[in-house]
This record gives sequence, C-alpha cells and structure tokens, in this order.
Amino acid sequence: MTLIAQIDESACLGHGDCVHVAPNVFILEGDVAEQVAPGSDEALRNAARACPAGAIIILDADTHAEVDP
Amino acid sequence: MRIVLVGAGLAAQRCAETLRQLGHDGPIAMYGDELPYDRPPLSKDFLKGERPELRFKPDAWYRDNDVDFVQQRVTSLDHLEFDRALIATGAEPITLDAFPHALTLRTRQDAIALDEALTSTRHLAIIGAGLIGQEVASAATARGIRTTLVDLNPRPFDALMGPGGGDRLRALHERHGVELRLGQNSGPLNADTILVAVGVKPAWRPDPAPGVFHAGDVTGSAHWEAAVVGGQNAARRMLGLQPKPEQPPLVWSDQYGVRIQRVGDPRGATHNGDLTYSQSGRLKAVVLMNEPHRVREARRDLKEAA
Repeated sequence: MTLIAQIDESACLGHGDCVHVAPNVFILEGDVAEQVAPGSDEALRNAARACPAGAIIILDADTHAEVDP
Repeated sequence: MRIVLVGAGLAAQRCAETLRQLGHDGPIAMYGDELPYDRPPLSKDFLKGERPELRFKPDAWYRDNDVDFVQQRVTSLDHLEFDRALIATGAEPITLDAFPHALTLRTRQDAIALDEALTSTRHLAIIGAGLIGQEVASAATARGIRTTLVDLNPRPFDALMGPGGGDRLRALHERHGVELRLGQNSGPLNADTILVAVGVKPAWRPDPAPGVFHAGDVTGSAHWEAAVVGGQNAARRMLGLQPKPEQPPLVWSDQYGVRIQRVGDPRGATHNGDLTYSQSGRLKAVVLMNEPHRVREARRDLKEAA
C-alpha cells in the first residue's frame, strides 16, 4: 500500500518532531511543518507517530481513506 | 513600532516568528541568556546520553529576519525603549531548603549535569512526582538505577491523567520498579543523587503596564503548547489583531516507551472510567496512551462537545 501524508495546519504547533524523524521529507516553514519531498510509507508513518499534536494525517494514496499510522 | 521581547524561550521565539509572518517590519529586540532552544528533550533524550540539536532556528534566521538578539538578562523594563513589550522570562525551579545539594532540571546545563550524575548514581531520589519527576524516573530506571519517587500528594499522577485516572500511570511506574512514597514526607533517603522537581515559580515580578504582554511559563501555565499559543497571540495583540481561535489544549509526555497525550482540560470533570472526562454530561478531556492516531478524533469530539 502506498501512503500520503497530509498536515493539519490548524493542529500543527511546530514541534519539529517530524523533521527529526524524517529530515529529508519534512521541514518547518515558519512554525508549521511542510512536506517537501516524497517519503517512504515507513517515514510517513514514523513522522505521524512522532507528532505530539497528531497533526500528520496518513491517507491511502488510492482511496484517500485515513489510515492508522 | 519598536518591539522588545524580554526572555528568549519558546514563547519569545514564536512571538518573533509570528510578528514577521504578519508583516511587522519594525525593529524586534530579544533579550536573554542564549538563543531560544527547545526543552522537552531535556527530560527525555538528554537522559539517555543523547544530545540532539535544541535550537529552534540557526543564527542565520535571526539575521535574515532582523531579530536583534541581545545576550543580557533583563529584570526590569525601566531602561528599555519600546512601543510593545513581551515578558516571556519563563520560570525557575523551586528549591527546597531540606535538600541543599539536590539537582533541579530546567536548562540544558541542568540536563547535562543530571545525565552525568546518573552515570555514577546507584540510587536516585526524586522529590516531586509531576511531569519532570515522572519522565526522569522513566529515564533512570531504563538505565538500571534504583529510583524512589516522593510526593506529598497521594495521587500525583492524576494531574496529568485526570482526576481519578492516575492509577494506570502509577501502575506503569511500579511495573518498572520505581519505589513510590506518596502522601507522606520522604523520610530518610539513602540516595546518592537527589532531584527536586516540585514545580516552578515565574521569573518576573507582575508588572502590568500599557503595551506590555505576557506569555509562556511566566504566566503560570507550564506547558509547551501554552507557550506557543501565548507567544503567537501576544504577537497578534501587539499588532491589533484578534487572538487565534482556541483549540482544546494538548499536553504530552513520554514515559517507559508510552506516549501519553491529553487533549482538553480534565480539571473539575468526572472520570468516565476509560480515561475520558465529562462535566455535566459534556466531554471535557481525553487521555490517550500510545494511541497517537486518536488525537485528531479526540480533538474533534471535544470541539463538538464544547
């Protein structure tokens, strides 16, 4: 299964934990996270699990259904 | 408009970022001991011997955004020139006369000192079973250190987990071998290292004045998210804008490999038995243990109940 990540900007607080676990995939732009490169499913899941604010939503790339990280 | 930020922690950093994002192009000066850095890793990664980068932004950010950092501890606004000022000096750990040689944990230097002390500690006593005490107990037991956690409050875990909900967290500490002395004075402690973690006091005299705003731990709210939102909203108010709409507050902690996330505020609410809390039939807070995917759902449920 291939996954995509979506960042809930209203929930993101700029902790930066996603940047820490997936440094080439996420950056902090100002104080909100942004995905700047494609990441492996594993990298996206890790980032979503690391986010203390629960601001990274993982979706199935085909169906866009929300998937548990 | 000249803006002065007194203190250089999370709240001041977020305030500076928000001011520039909202288009403030006047001078910003930030006063503090060192450039702002993040503290949550101090009671987590640092006590595993790791030293992750803590700085929020590299030096270049302050240059590019024209934020003038002044390495100076300011204790009064008397000699500063400003149109708007933010007091974000944070808080200082409370010390106890009974433990004059005890360590405290607040700064990067404190964390390094504690990490180094733990390398030769056989028995650690922690006075105060709040978030810091709990996370240090988790780190110390993982290093094989005998750990005693002391608190006058018989139910200190309820502060994080909600009223009546602390038992599962208490059980987690017990399962990892932490010796709990709760609801009593510490009694004799044969520990070779003592950490006092009984809370903090704001590092500023209250000093309300026109054009002066407060954010972060100095306001008495000792949580990461409150400092973020407080700093952002101070920036908005300085520029005459409305504060951001309120979100249910979020607090998190990592202990024994379990991520605890609390959404909402359980104070004064009743435990429904499943780590959710309600007041007058309305959901007030949800506490999650290792269920990060449910944070969004919890936030949505709380907003609907509000």
